[in-house]
Amino acid sequence: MAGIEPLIANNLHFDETRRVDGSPLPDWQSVLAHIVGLTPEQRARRQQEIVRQLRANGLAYQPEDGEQHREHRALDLIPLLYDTAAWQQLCNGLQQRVRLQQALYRDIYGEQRLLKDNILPAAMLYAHRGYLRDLVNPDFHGEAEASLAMAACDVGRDSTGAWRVLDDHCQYPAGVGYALENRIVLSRVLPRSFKQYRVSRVASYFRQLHRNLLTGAGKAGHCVILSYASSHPHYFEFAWLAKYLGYPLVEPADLSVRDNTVYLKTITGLQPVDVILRLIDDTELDPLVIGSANNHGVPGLVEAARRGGVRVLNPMGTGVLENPAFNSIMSQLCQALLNEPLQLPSQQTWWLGDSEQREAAMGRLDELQVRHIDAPGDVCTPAQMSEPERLQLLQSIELTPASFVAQQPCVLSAAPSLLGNELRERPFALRLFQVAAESDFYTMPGGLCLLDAERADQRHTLQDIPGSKDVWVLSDQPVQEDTLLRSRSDDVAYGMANGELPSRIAESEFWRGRHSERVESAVRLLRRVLQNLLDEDRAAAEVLATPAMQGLLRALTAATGTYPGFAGRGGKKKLAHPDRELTSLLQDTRRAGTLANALQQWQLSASSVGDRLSSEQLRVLNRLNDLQAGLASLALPKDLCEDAVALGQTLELLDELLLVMSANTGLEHENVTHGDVWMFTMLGRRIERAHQISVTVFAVMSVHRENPRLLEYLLRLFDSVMTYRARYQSGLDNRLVLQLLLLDEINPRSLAYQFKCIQELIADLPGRRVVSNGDPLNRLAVAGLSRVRLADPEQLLNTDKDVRQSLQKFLRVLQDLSASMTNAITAQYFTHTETRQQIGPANVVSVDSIRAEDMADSR
Amino acid sequence: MKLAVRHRTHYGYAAPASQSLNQVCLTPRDTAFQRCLQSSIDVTPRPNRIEHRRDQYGNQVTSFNLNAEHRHCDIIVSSLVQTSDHNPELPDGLSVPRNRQLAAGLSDQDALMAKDCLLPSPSVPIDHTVDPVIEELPIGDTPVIKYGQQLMAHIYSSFTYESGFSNLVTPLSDIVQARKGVCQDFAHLAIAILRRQGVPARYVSGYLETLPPPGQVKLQGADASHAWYSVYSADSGWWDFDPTNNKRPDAQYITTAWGRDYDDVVPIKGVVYGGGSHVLTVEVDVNRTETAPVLITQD
Repeated sequence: MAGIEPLIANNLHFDETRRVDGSPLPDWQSVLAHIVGLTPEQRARRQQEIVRQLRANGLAYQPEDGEQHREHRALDLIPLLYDTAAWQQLCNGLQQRVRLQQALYRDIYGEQRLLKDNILPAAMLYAHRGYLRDLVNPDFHGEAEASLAMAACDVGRDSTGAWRVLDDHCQYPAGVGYALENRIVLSRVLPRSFKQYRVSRVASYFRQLHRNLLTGAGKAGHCVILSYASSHPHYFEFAWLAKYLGYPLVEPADLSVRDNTVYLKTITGLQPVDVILRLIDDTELDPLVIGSANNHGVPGLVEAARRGGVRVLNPMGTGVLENPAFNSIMSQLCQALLNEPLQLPSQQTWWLGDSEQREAAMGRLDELQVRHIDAPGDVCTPAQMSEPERLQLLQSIELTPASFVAQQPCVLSAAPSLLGNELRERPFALRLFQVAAESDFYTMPGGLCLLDAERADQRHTLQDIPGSKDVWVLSDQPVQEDTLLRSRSDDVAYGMANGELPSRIAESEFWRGRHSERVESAVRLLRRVLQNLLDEDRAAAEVLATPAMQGLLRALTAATGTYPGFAGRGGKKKLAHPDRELTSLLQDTRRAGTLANALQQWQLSASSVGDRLSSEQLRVLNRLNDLQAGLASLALPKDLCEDAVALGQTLELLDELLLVMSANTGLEHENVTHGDVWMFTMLGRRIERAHQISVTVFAVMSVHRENPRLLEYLLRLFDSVMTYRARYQSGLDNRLVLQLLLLDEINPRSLAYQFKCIQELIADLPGRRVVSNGDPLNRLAVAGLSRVRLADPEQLLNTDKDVRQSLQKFLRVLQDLSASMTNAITAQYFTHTETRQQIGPANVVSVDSIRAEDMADSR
Repeated sequence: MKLAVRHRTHYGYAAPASQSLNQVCLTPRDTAFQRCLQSSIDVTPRPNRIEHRRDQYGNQVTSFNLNAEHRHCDIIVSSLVQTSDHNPELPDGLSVPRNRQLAAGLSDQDALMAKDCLLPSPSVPIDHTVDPVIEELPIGDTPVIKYGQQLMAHIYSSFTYESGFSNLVTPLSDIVQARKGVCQDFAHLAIAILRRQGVPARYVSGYLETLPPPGQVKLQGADASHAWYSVYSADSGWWDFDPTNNKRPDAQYITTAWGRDYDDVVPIKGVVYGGGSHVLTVEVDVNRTETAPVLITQD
C-alpha cells in the first residue's frame, strides 16, 4: 500500500503523527507500518469484522425494518495514539476546566456572586435555554453543594498543535457508550496490539463513575439510569452503558414521584429510587419546570431533587454550562472562581450580546463562524452564505444579539485514517470524558475521536458521525487487565434485586415471548403449505383443491389472525389462487399478523429490552434480522404455487428461520437465569402457544375431522409425528391425535402441557405467596388446566346433535382463557399504581397537562 | 384599603385520576404598595403535605401531590391584602440608551430582573410580529416610563377587549392581526413592543376589585384574575400599567406575582395521571373588608 496522501497540500492541519518540531513519532510509525504491512485480505477481514460487530451491537437496539439497511457508523481500523506525558498535560487542562464548571454551577444556582459583581453579564446567563430559573432560590445564601459527577469536553488541536476546547457537555457524557463500544470492538480485532503498545484501559473511568453512584445511593440505596425511550436515536448508547454499569435502564414513564420521593414502578409495586443517573436533557426532565421543551419527563422530579428526595446526576441545570458564550470570558471566570490562570484555552469567542464584542466580530464576520447559543450544532459561516441567508442571519442577530456567538474557526489537526480501502489524513475532534474522583476530576484514558467533526454548516451530532477512531493512551508501565464486566462481586447488592423488575420491562418480556411464538407458528404453517405444494407430483391446482390443503390454509388465516384471508369473504377464490395471499403473509410488514409483521414486532419487543439480552441472544437477533431482510428481498412470482424454484428458495429461508428460532428458544432455556424476567417471557410463550394450538386445531377440525391427511398435517405442525408413531403404532385415529395434541401433559407441544406450565409459572410469579382463592389469575390458571384434564376425546368428537359443538365449545373457551389471562397479568403486573385500580389503557400512563385557568374579564 | 380574595379552582374528572402533582402561584406577594396580611390554601382531597417556596423573582409557589385516586380536586386560596392608597406621581424615566447604560452597572434584584426582561421569553418571542403597532407609536426619544403610559393608552384605544377571543396558545400575531384580545394578550403585546425597542418590561398577575353597577348586589364569584405589565427605568424602578382598563394600578389592584410572561407565573399547573377529560371551574371574589376572610373548608 502506498504512503499516505496529505490531506491538503498547504499543510494547514497539524499532523498528529509528528511532534511540534516536525519529527515523526515512533509509535505512530510503528502502528502505521503494521497496518500498511497487512495484506489487502487481512485488512479487509479486520474491517469486515468491525462492521459486523458494530452492526450486531446496534441492531439489538434499533431493528432495521427489513426493507432497507441503515447506514451504520464506521470505526477506523487505525487508532489515535498519545503518549502518557502529552496526554497528562491535556488532562490537567481539562480537569481544571471541569473544576471551573463546577464552581460556576454552584455560583449560578447558589449565591450568584458573579452576577452581582458583574463579572458574568446577566444577559449571557439569562439568554441560554439551559438556565433553569426554577432552580434559583432567592432565599439561599452561601455556596450550593451540588457537584458535577461527570463531564465531557470536545477538544481539537489548532494548526500550531495547541489544544483548544470546542464544546462542553455537562448534562451527561453523551458519546461515552460509543467510546466504550469502539474500545471493545477494536480490542477484539487487534488483540495483540493492545498488549504490545500498552494501551491504558478505559474501565478505570467506569469504575469511578460507578463509585460515584454508590456514594449517593447509601447502604440499601437504589440507582437507576434514566434515558429516553427505545425509539430515541441514542438509545443504543444508553443501553450499552447501562449494561456495562449494571444498573436498570428506565424511561421517564417508569418513574413516579409521590411527596418528593421518586419511585420505580415494578412488578411488585413502587420501589424507592435514591440515585438517578440521567441521560436526558434538562429541558425534558420535568414538564412542571419553567422552560421545559415538551410534556415529557418525570413530573415532580425537580421538586423532589430540590427537597433532597433523590440525587440526580449530573444535577439538573448543568445544561447552562454548555453555553458557548462563556468561552468569551473563560479566563476571567477562572481567575474569579479558582483564582488561577486558565490552562486550556477555548476557541476564540465573541459574545454578540456585548456591544463592544459585537462590533469587533461584525467587523471581521467573514473570517468567523456564527452559532446560536441554544443550537450549538448549527454553525453558520457567513463567508459562504448567499446574500439573503446572510441578511437573515444579521437580522436575527439584531433582534436577539445575546443569543449569538461568533467564533474563530479552528483548523483541526489530522491523522491517518483507513476507511474503506482509502488511507488518507482526516481532521478530527476528540470528545474526552471526566468523572469526579476523591480530590479532583479524573479523565478517561481514551475517548471518542470524531472524524471530519466539522462540516461547513454543522457540527456533527453523535447520530451522524461519519466515522470515529478508538483513542489509545500508551502507558509507560505495564497495563493491568481491567474490565467491569467481570468484577461484579462488590456491587451486586445495589442493582435492583429480583422482584424489583420494572413493569415496563416485564411487559416487554411477556410480549417478546408471545411474538416469538407467533413467528414460530406462522413459519410452521407457511412451511407446511409450501412444502405440500412442492412435494406433490400433482399440479398445484389439484393440490389446492384437496380438502386437506384447504383446511390447512384456513388454519393459516385463523392462527395468524389475518381475516378474512382464506376463511372469510372471498375465501373460496383465494383458496384456488392463494399466491397473492401467501406472498402477503410472507412479506407484508404493514399487515398485522403476517410473518413479516410478526418478525418485526418480535424484534421491536426484543430491542426495548436490548440491555438485558446476552451476546448469544444478540447474535441470534442479528441473524434473524438478516433472514428478515432476505425474506423481504425475495422476488416472489405471481404464480408462486407453481414455481418450484421460488417455493424451494422460500422454504430454505423458512427452515433457516425455524432453526434460528429454535436456537433462541434453547438460549432462553439454558443461558438465561430462570428469574422474574424469564418467567414473564415464558408466560408469554405458553399463553401464545396455547392460543395457537387451540386456534389451529379448531380451524382444522371444524371442517374435516377424519381426513387422515389433515390429521397428519396437524401432527407435523406440532412436531408430534414421531411421538404418535412410537406411542400408538396405529393408523391415524382422530381421538388419539386429539389426545396427543390437546390432553397429553408430557408432550411439550400439547395444550395440556401449556396450561400445566402456565399454572406453575403463575404460582411462582413474584408477590404471589399469599393469594386468595378468588385471585383472578389463579382462577384462570386452574380453570385452564382442569378443563383439559377433565376432557375426554371420545366426548369431544361426539357428533351427536346435543354435544355436536363440544370440541368447538371446548376450544373456544380455552381461547378466551388466554385472552383473560393476558388481561389479568396486565392488570396485576404491568399497570402498577399504588391503588392498583388505575383505569385506562394497559401500561400506558396518560399524562394530561392541566394548565388551564383562563384569564378572564375584569373590564 | 383591605381586600379579601377568595380564589377557588375546581377540577372534575370524567374518569378516576390516580395521581396528580400541582403547583400553585396564587398567594399575593408583598410589594412597595401592598402587604399580604394572611393567606391560606385549602385543598380537597387533603394532600399529605403542602410545601411553599419562593421562586427566583420572589413569588410564592405552593406545591402538593394527590396520591390517592380522586375524581375531583378543589383548591381554595384565601388571602387578605392591605393595599396602599398612596399613588405616587409617575416619573418620566430615562431614554432607552441612557436606561440601558445605567442599568448595565446595576445588579440589585430589580436591575437583574430588568436584564432578564429585555430578552425573549416563552410566550413573548422577540421578532417582527409587533412591528406594525410600533410604527403607530415608535418610542423615539420618549423616556421609557412615559412611553409605557402612552402605550397603555394606545392599546386601550386601538384594541378591542373580547372575552374568550384567545386561549393560552393564541400567538401574538393573531392578536395584532385581529386587534382583539383579553388582558393577558394586551400585557404580552405591550411587553413585546417594549422589549423590541429595548425597554425592560415584565408581566404582572393579580386581581382587580370590581364594583357592581349602582343599586345592584355583587354576584358571588363574579370577579376574575387579571394581568397587566410593568416597565423598568434604572433611575426609578418598575412602574405598572393596565392596558385593559387604561389605568395605573392603584389601591383596587392586588399583585399576585410577576415574571417575564405568563409562563413564569401560571396560577395553577400540574400533571394528572388518568382522569380522562376534565372540567375546570374558577370562581374569584374580591371584597373590601375590615375582618379576616372566612376560610371555607369542605370536610
